[in-house]
Amino acid sequence: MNLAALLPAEILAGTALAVLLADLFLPHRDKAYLGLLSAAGLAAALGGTARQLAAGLHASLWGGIFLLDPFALFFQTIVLGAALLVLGVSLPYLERWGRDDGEFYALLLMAVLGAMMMVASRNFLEIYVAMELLSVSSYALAGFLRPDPRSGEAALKYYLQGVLASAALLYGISLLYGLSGSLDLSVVGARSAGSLGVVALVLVAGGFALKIAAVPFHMWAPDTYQGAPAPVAAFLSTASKAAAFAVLARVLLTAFPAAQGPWQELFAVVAAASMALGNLAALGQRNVRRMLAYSSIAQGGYVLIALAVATPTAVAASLFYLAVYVFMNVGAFSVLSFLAGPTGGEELADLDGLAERRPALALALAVFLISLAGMPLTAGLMGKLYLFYAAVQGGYAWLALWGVVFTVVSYFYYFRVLRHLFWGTAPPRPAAPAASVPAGLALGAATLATVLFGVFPQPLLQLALHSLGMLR
Amino acid sequence: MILFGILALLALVFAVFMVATRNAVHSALFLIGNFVILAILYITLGAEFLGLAQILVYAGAVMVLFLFVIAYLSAGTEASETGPALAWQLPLGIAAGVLSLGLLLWGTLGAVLTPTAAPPHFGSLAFLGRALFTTYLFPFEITAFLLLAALVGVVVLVRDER
Repeated sequence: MNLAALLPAEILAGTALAVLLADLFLPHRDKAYLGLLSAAGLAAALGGTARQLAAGLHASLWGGIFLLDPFALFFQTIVLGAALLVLGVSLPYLERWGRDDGEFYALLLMAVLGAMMMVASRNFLEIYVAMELLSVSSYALAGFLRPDPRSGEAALKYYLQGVLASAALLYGISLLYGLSGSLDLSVVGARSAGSLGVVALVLVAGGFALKIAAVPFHMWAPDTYQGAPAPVAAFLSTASKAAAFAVLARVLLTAFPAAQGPWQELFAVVAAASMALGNLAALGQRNVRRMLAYSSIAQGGYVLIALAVATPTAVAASLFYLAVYVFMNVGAFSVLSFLAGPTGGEELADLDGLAERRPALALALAVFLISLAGMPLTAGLMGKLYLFYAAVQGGYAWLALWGVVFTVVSYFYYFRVLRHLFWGTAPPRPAAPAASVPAGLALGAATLATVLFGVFPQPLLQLALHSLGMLR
Repeated sequence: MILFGILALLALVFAVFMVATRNAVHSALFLIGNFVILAILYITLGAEFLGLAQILVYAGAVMVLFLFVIAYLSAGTEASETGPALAWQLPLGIAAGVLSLGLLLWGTLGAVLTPTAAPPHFGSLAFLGRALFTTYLFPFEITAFLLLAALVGVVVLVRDER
């Protein structure tokens, strides 16, 4: 029973080991097969998880350490889907850098495994171990192109701040264990009343907030997203962020419902600060990847509205938003990854006249940016609408208004990129390399999903609401 | 209680000196002192395995590696170089430290503690082993992947380019 329910995770773990082993024996020209093998493993795990989600699986495993409920399965599906898109884009990217080694795929798979375990954990020990697996793999992935100093800088900054957050998380967990004598989420909260419980909760929340890149813990994000390999930045800003949000929501909603008032206010402030800082700082960026990093901080702020409001509608809205955010943000980073090479090429000026040179890429990037800005006919608009509506409904009208104001601010920097795309004059430059089949597939799927969930948001929203049903 | 007070004070003194000294080797030695005191604290609390592991793993293995690295990297240079100090760094650091200390004091002094008896043999090797291989078997297996990821990551980050 235990082992059957965890089959997707086992497939993933097996694939990671197989890729590492096969890497030793494959000649260098055949390394692309490792990418395809990883993609097959990810697809199988995704299929299995989606089937469990569709079947409404609700299983408590290993004496309650794991809880595979629809909430966990929803986030596992998000993480696996994001990883599959990232993998598709990574294949040509790594090849162009001459670094299409098996380690990249193995590390990516292990990061996904960590994220999958994390969102299904109901025990602080398992949460911590799984999150470290995600973190350690991510540090190495961020520095994968290390001969490029920016990649090294990305890894180092992420590592140093990540370790600090880990320490805060561990300290918080140890305090909670001291207070309650248990690591079980369902027991800890009830026995952790009082001021020390509040301190512990703040420390734990800080540990997760770093992965979400929420405002007091956002400093690593711009440098890491800019310097890391573009597909890795896409992974960190979507899958990693969604997994941390899932754990944070589960810890707060299931373990600490009693302290709801204080942490609601805390997250209202964090969300407002993230929206403001992310959007304002993005205005001044000339490097598109750095701009997307600040935009990602702001998007994290929108999602955190859900924890401030803490109604089921709001949390369901955040699930919807994180799901569609995967498509638009992985998509946006992917287009950049096609354009950029070892020589750079991610400045605003580099995008001048892209619509003439590469019409399909320019169109896809336009769709993603319009969706990130939240314009009609895209999934981004529906996500923002649901979140703001839930905020008004839950008595946080000021937060919704704050979000609307900064959404308008964000139009300036998103549309500035569009102006460069379609109305910039193209300087003569060498043609960008043609997109490969897996990358084209990933990009096409992301574009299609961004539009599709904007026009037909209902099924996904229903799924999000349903996934939430059994959380409490 | 008196023993705890002395040990805690010693651990604090070592920790402060570790941060305050400019010489990397001295700093590492103070850290070893701090680790040993912590190990004794663990043992007085009845967690003998944790205490022994602390000495073997941290004071032993980790610190030896640490000293090797220091010796390789800065052989000959006495004190670590101090870059141009940022004027706002010190006051900001002190403010942050005071703030965290205040938060922790507020938390500990106002704590509502409900003491529960620890299970028998809590912290012993047998207790730990049983927990690790029954209740926490799956997290234990995940740590295997964690170590593997760390290993692969280190190789990826330090290898030479072809």
